[in-house]
Amino acid sequence: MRSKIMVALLAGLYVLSFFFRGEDEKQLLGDRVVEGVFFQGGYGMQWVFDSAAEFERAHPDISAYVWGNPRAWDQTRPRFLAGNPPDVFWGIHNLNFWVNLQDGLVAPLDSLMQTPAYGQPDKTFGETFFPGVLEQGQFDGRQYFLPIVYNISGIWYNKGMFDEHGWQVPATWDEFLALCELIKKTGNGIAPLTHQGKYPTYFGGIYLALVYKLGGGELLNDMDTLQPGAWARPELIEAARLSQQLYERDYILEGTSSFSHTEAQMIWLQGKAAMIPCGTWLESEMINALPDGFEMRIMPVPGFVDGKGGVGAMEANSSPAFWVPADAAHPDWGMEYLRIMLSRKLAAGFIENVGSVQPILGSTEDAEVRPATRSALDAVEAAGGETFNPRFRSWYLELDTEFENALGALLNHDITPERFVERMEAMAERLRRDPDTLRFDSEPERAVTAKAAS
Amino acid sequence: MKLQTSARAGWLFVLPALLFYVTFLVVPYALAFGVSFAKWRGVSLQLEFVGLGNFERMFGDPFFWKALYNTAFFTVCTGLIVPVMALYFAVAVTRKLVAGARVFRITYFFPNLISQVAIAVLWWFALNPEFGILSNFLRLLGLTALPSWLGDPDWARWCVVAVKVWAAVGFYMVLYISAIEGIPDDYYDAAKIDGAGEMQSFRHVTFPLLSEMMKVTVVFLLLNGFGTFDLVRIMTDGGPDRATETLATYIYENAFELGKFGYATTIAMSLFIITFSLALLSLYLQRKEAIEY
Amino acid sequence: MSLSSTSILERLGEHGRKTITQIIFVVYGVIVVFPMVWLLYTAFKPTSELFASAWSLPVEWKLDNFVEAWSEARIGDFFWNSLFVTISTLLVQLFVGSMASYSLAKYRFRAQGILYYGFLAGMMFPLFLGIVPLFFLVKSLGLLDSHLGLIVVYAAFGIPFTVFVLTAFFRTIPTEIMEAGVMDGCGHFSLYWRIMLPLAKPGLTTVGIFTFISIWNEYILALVLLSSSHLRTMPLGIAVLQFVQFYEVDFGALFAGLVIVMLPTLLCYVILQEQITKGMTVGAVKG
Repeated sequence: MRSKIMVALLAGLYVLSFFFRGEDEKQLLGDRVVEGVFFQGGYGMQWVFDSAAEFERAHPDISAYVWGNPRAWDQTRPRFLAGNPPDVFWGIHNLNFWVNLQDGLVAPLDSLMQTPAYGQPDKTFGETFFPGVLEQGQFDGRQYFLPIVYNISGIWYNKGMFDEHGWQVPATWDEFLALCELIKKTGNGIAPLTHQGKYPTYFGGIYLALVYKLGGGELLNDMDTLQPGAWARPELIEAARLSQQLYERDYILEGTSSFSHTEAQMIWLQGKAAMIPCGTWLESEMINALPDGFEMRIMPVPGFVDGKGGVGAMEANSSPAFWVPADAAHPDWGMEYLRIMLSRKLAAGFIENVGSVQPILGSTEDAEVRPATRSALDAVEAAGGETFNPRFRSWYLELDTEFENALGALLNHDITPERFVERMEAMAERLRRDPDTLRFDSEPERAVTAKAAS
Repeated sequence: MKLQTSARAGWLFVLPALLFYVTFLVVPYALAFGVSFAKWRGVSLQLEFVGLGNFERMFGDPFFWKALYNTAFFTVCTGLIVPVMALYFAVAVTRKLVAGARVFRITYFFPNLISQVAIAVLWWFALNPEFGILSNFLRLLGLTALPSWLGDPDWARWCVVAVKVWAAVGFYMVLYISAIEGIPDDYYDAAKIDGAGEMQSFRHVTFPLLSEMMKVTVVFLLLNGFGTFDLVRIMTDGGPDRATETLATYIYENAFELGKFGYATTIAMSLFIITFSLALLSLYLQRKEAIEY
Repeated sequence: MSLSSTSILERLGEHGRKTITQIIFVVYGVIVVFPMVWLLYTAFKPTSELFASAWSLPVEWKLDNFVEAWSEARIGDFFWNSLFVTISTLLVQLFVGSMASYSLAKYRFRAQGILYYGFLAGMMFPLFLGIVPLFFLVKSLGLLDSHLGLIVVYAAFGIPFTVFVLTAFFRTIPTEIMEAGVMDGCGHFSLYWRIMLPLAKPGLTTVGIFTFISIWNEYILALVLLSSSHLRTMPLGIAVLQFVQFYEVDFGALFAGLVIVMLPTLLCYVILQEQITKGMTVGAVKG
């Protein structure tokens, strides 16, 4: 009897499932559809929907079907392999942009860069970007990727808290250590520093800044281009030592190693720690949890008076994000979508809705930049525009993963600074030998020159 | 009888199943042998034959060894813990050593009905050092200075083992129960007449007669342990610092994240060789044991 | 078991051992059941309440999380997708598999033994060995990213187990029954369909239940073979929901989704508990 009921029930549900299965929204929109798939992360999805609406306004005959989630890349990978990708794509997680380029999945955007900018017919699209950011999406002199944001990283603090206790923003690492000592002693239980311990990549911002400030841009470049021995240089050991020292001196909030990024940032907002490393997305990511009167401000990772990199230099980048799949049904529509999405008008909207800045000239004048991000732009200006940008993190996914893993072990005191660089150099060596890995022998524009000369 | 000797009809009945089976199991597995000797990025059907190159690379790949070690660790731990616990539960339930046996029998099986994904997500949250129930419970007991569970390389490994055990024990318990229930009561009565207590009848009746069953379960556990994927992928994604990376997650990473399909298949081949020979070996060893009784 | 531990246990006496056993059973029972119970009532709590107190019962039992999970997080779509894929697989696999098992159990022809063990060997191969070629095979058949593709692959992967259990089952059915059928004028197929299949119902139920549970919960093949979000099955949907938590903290919908994915198989089990246990015995004793 029971099993009869079960069978009847299942049969009924089965019939219903024919009608209620998920429907392909794209097909419902008809034939003329541009499809965009976007990573859903700290920026949310509203800016994506805004750009779709703008696209449809500009091209009433084409529907824009856009969707996204944090696993967009995982889910879309089979479609790339099946030759059925979307028309425009951003899928940050677990994604190696350059591997895709190597596999011929990415369409060049050179023609797009020459077309007039959307809403600014006197300029080409390529001319609307902040100077220097486009090259991060180039290979062999051709444009393949476009950035989503201009991101600045450093150490964040609450200005209100600092003023209340009379703490001064440090310029040098020694001053920073002195400040930490002061906070530990006079902060009524406030820990000097916390970080997103579960994802050591965030602390990587501090570590790589130390490396830059000790060894300068040349060292960073050697590391990026996998020069033999670059990853074992003494500056890297010193930076590792300084990183561990923060733990040894008890400057890091207890429990930090287990905090996810949201937990750590939440705890920092609650005032349990005075400082936290992060990029400018922090403000938009935590905007809903921001306590009243919290004045989120950034400082550069402090440097060294005798270091090769500027004391106040900031890490700034516009990492590759958007691209048009080579096998897309409508690559031209995909490019058009990018032209509209990265227009001055929508970039201003991005600042208003998301809070982060896109590297589009003029957009920061059209919209009011929120104070935290404003402080980051000011910090870059205060450093005389000196910025640095470790490129290996986007070039070599496996090196970045090993960097994060080894850094986690280092901060955990599972390994010594010497062992840390040993591991990194071993990974660099592995990539140098790996036939599957695309090599960047130097800065892309230099690669072009070299090629032209040969 | 005539019908049964009709080879044509016999074949016709088998044919559809054979078709499915050959197309989606035999062919891919056979192809895998070829792919493991090639460099293949999976974008086109062009395979570049590299001979033993992939294997050479694998032997020199420390992450492969780490993944292999972890996989073996998970397999051995669950392979030891699960049968012991399951057997203990099964004996207690069938020999009426515990009140409410029926309830335990049903509830212990629950985890086997749930998706590994759901189990992974459930424990991923339960093991959250701040908000999870485990840490909260231990804090109630007055313990502080708790580890960060999945965030700590050493603890993460054991957490994965614990969750695997949690997910598996019920199934093996029910298997053992059915096997024990298949043992005629006379055997136990005879043992009792001989003056044997529970311990002795376990040692002299239950355990020897279960050897057939143990054979099956060890093979199951080997296959299960070496295929560990869902739990790890969701709870730790192989981390921290590859402390919980298994061969399966490493294969997935290489194939579907880094596009090294050829290399990934080579690792899969080693996985196959290991599981297959271990399964054969355990069947062989246990056969010898069974004869001794 | 070593001698010393035995003697300690013996010294405890029958009563002491029973008490310890009872305690162990209750404790482990709590370990098994409590996380699920906790999940169940937590799914009725808003996220803020969860963070405030991990243990407490919801202040107000609200269905908001379920509504959000079902419609906004599209768990509803995934639920129907899973149901469709699972039952379709079940039908294909049982039909195809039972025919083969029937033939292997009741017909006599050469290569029968090879076929039988060939099918069983399928249980020995790790899924990950075949997954990359399988992906490209399904792709070249044009079945990638479709429910149909997933169903045929699931059915194929289910055949070894089906053959294993059902062949053993058909063997227990006396041949005389077939002979009686032949007397009544049954042909090959109607003998199978009208007489043997109904007799094999307990075996079919066993295979059906196990297949339902494993397909309902399957993750790896679905992850590799499906990409469009509207096609996702429940486990894929849950995995995505879990990942969303890295960027927006809203555990409510995730927990509600977990409850929705867990309930059908748990209910199925509680109702059909005896058949499941019996089914496992079939495999164990006859195998």
